[in-house]
Amino acid sequence: MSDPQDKDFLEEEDEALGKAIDWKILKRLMKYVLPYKKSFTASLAILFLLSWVTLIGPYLIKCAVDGPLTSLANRPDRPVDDVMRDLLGIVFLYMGFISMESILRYAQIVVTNLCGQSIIRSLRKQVFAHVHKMSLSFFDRNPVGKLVTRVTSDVESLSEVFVSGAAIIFEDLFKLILIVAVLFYLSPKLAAVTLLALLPLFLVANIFRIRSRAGYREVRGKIARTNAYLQEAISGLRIIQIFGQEKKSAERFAKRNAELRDAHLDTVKVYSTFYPAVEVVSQLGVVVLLWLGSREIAAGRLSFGQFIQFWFYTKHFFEPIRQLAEKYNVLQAAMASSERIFRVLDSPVEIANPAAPVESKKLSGAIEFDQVTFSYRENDPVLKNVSFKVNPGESVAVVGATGAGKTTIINLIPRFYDVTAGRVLVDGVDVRDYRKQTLRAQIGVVLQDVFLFSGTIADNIKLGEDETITDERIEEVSRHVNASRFINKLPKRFETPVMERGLSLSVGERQLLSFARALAFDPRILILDEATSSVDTETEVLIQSALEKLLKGRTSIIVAHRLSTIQRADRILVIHRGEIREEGNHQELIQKGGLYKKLYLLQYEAQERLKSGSK
Amino acid sequence: MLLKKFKSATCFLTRYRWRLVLGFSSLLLTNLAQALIPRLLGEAVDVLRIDQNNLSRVNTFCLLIFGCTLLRAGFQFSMRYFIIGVSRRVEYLVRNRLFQHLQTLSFSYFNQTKTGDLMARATADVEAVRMVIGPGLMYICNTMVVVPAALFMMFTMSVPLTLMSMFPLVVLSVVMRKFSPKLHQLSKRVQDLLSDLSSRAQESISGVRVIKAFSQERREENSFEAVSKDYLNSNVALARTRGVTVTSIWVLADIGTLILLWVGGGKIINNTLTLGEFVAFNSYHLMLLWPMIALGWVIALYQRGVAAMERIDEVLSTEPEIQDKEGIKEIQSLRGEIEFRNLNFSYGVDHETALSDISFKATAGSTVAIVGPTGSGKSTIVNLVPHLFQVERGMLFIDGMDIHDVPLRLLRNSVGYVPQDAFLFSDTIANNIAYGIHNATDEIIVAAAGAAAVADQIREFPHGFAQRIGERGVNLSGGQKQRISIARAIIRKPTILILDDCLSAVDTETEAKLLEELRRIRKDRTTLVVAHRISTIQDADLILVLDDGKIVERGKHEELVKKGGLYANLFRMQRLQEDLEEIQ
Repeated sequence: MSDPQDKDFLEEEDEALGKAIDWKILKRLMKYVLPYKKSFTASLAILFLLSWVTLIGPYLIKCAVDGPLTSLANRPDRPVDDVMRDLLGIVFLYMGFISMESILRYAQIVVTNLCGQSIIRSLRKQVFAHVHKMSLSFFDRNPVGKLVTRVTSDVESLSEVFVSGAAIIFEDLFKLILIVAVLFYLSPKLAAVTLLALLPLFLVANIFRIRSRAGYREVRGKIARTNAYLQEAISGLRIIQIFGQEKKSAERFAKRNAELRDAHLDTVKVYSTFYPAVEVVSQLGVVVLLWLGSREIAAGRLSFGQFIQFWFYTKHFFEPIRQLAEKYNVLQAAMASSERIFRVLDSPVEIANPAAPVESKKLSGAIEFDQVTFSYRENDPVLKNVSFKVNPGESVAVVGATGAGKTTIINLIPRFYDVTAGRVLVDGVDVRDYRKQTLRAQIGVVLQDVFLFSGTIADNIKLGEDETITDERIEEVSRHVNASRFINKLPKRFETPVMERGLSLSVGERQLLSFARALAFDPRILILDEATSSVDTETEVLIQSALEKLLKGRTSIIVAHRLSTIQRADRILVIHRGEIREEGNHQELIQKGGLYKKLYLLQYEAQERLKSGSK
Repeated sequence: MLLKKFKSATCFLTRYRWRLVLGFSSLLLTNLAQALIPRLLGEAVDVLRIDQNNLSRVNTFCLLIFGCTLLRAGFQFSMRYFIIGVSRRVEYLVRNRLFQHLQTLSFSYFNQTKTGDLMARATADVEAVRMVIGPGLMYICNTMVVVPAALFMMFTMSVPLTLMSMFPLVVLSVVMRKFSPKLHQLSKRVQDLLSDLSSRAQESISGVRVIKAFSQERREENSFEAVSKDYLNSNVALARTRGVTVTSIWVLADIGTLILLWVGGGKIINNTLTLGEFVAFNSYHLMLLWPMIALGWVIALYQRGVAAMERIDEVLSTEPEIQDKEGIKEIQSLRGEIEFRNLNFSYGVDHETALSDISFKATAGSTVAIVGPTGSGKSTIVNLVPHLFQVERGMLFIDGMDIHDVPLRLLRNSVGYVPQDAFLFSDTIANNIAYGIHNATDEIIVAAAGAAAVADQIREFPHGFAQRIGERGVNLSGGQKQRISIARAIIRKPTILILDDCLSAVDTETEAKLLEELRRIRKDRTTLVVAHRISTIQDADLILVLDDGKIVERGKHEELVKKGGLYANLFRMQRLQEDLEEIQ
């Protein structure tokens, strides 16, 4: 079956390509250049000088040709030593030219790079910081991979402009203008005709730019298709093998692979044509120069030296044109990247600090939900009119089936999200009236999936360079939550690096570590999303006793999965389909024989039996 | 020869021998034509020098130069077209071969090897190998022609001048050989830091919830900044080295001109060199420059190519773990009797035991159901039947034969398999259903879809059965996927039907309908069902209750419920769950 739905397969990043120069974006980019305007100006100045210096070489040769090299032929009576001295003079000048050029060239590369990289670094910093200011709903909408691309690849593609692109463009433009000016100064007629002959270079370069760009896109698309099939085949290999479809699958792969090969062969054709075409056009310039130049020499309007100078300059002509064409594509990509970066920078910070925040004070820890409604997507409320109060020091367990809205409740207290309607109050004040930092500093959050950062165990407890948390404090809290036992068994104790995403630690150990982390910050309010996964009995006992210590003297809200946790709570809230259905302690709710009883039988009774069985 | 290590790729070259002959003869001719041009230009200058009015001879030279240019250009085209073209064709063949080999490998290989790693071999590594047998080879041969040709021309004009102008070239090639590896090393460091930067951003954004909860945004910024600074510094270090390299290329080229000016100029004054030769010399010098620069580049290319080829060969030399042993007896068909005899299994030497002491027999045409908690080994049992994993001899028997003695092709052709994840290909629905059979007619496909209770829903798609699914098509619900994968299994009319928890996402109403159909289909085939929902398997001939890799209970539904063990408990839980779901 042929597939008509097959056509619209384009990379998202590719489609956005438009203008190579967008003044609005450029203006905005210039703001990032301002702090580095000194080194930026220096780099431009070097480029300017450099394009002048390149002109000197051929000029010196002209002087040699018209001077010492031909002076004996013109005036045979001159002593040879004189002539040699003249030549030596030019040779010395040439040496001077070489040293000047080498210094400038080296300086240009280093200065431009330093300047460009610094600009890019400050941009990258800004993007990174801005992303971290966004609310969690922003991260729900934007996948991690996409955001990482903004911070890295997109910024990187911009850096190509700042680091090499802009520099080369300026140098090439200076150079082209200078060469054209000098050619016209030497001989307007010859200059006009030679340039006319070289004009097709622009045409060739431009055709090549367009064709190679199209070819590149085609190849990219085919690579993506081939890779997609490869990936699919590897993940579906079980099906391929059981259904005995290896041959058919190989054919399908070969088809995509052949498309890729043909796309490549097309670009081979483009490149194979391009280089010879350039050669023909630029040699045409030389031939025209020779043809007309010889006539000009015969007529006495041009010297040999000037002729050779001319010849050198035309050789310098093509490189800048090709570079300019190439940089056009780089610019285009950079503009698209800037646009994407600016889109991130322009997305408003949804959860901002209030203009006049409530004075920070030590909280007592009272929490109240006042007719709270919340939805992640419009018209699809996850919480409906939820109201409840938690007194300072009280411990409340939230239970309910998966998707009932338990996690949402605890997300609203530290203001990870803002309510859709109603109010969340802490100590009688709407959470939107606190500074986020003040509020969050007094709320300890322990999540189900314990996220560990690369770094040491200690880093993960104090979360980095927070100097207010001393080593003694770290050891103390770890001991308190029973984490020091396993930490002391680690090779470098608190200085042991945690592998990426904590793969080397067990679930239970990570739990204990996250308890230590929460305790180190000594919060008034503790929010706990209990892990569902089971751990071995010994660790379970450690976790439970740690939890008990952790809850003491704090207000706590716990999404509970362990029966023992629920039984310990002062009160239980039963959530079902976004509403609070039942409320009370374990005994009361069991006696009531409603939703909680069913949940209990389903989720917790087995634990009960297991526990009594093991005793 | 240098290409000896590239046998897995060069073995395809013979197919393209005529293209290669054309390519390499073009290479020779284009370079010879190019080598003539500076000489002709020099002659023209000299003609002009001696007699400024002999313009007709100058015209002849103009024509000759242009003629040579056209020849040069034409052959340059065919050189690139043929040589690079062949490299692309070989790349295609190598990649196909790699893919075909990958498909023969057993499942355990893919458990050990990351998909991303295999993808890199099939793309970046194959490309690196192509760079060696295409551009790399071309540039080296180019150098081998250009250098002697240009040197010959230079020698005919002046031997001492040639020897002197070779000096900067030799220095250049030394510089390039010294700095190329260093450049490579530095740019690798830049790449590594970029990927550090990227994983730093990745980690921070993934952990954004914790960062916000503890107000650690500032700290994250600082730690990101630190890597960012390292990145900047290593970039600048790279720029410095590149600065030295690029500058020395320019300087050495200029020194060449300087020597020409000085020594050549002296010779002109002494009348031992003409002005035309002076001009020609300069051109030849530039002509020699590029191959010297390219040398360092080709060396780096070659090193990368060798490493890439080794990685590819590593895959190609991996023997499939599961394949028919030699001299296996031909068998026409299977009846479908399955027997596990004290089977123990683990996914690898350093893995925990997945199954221990499993014994049961599924007579031909019977239905055996397997239930138990997550991770108890249910899927492992059914995955062993189509021989996806290797088991020891004497543990698993099909029709009374050890599974090692059953031809793989026949075994798998007799199996209809519905996987847990309902894996479908990004293709049309019809092609997905007809995946395992030849010449499926529309009627058969629709009938299979009907049996899987999904035909009506398929008809509602804009393209019906021709609807594409996956990446470029519609997204199916979990239940639809599961039913399509059921249709894919039953369309084969298999002797053994394996259903690996394939109804989990199907709603209760559809489930009842589907079960009715399955009951009819199951009648004359052996069926292994893994199920979470007891309702699916109540009427099985044998129910096995698995816990931690062992069979803890076995029997029929009523017996097991009466027994009051793990099964009875599971059954009760599920009724409760259903009750809970019904509360509004």
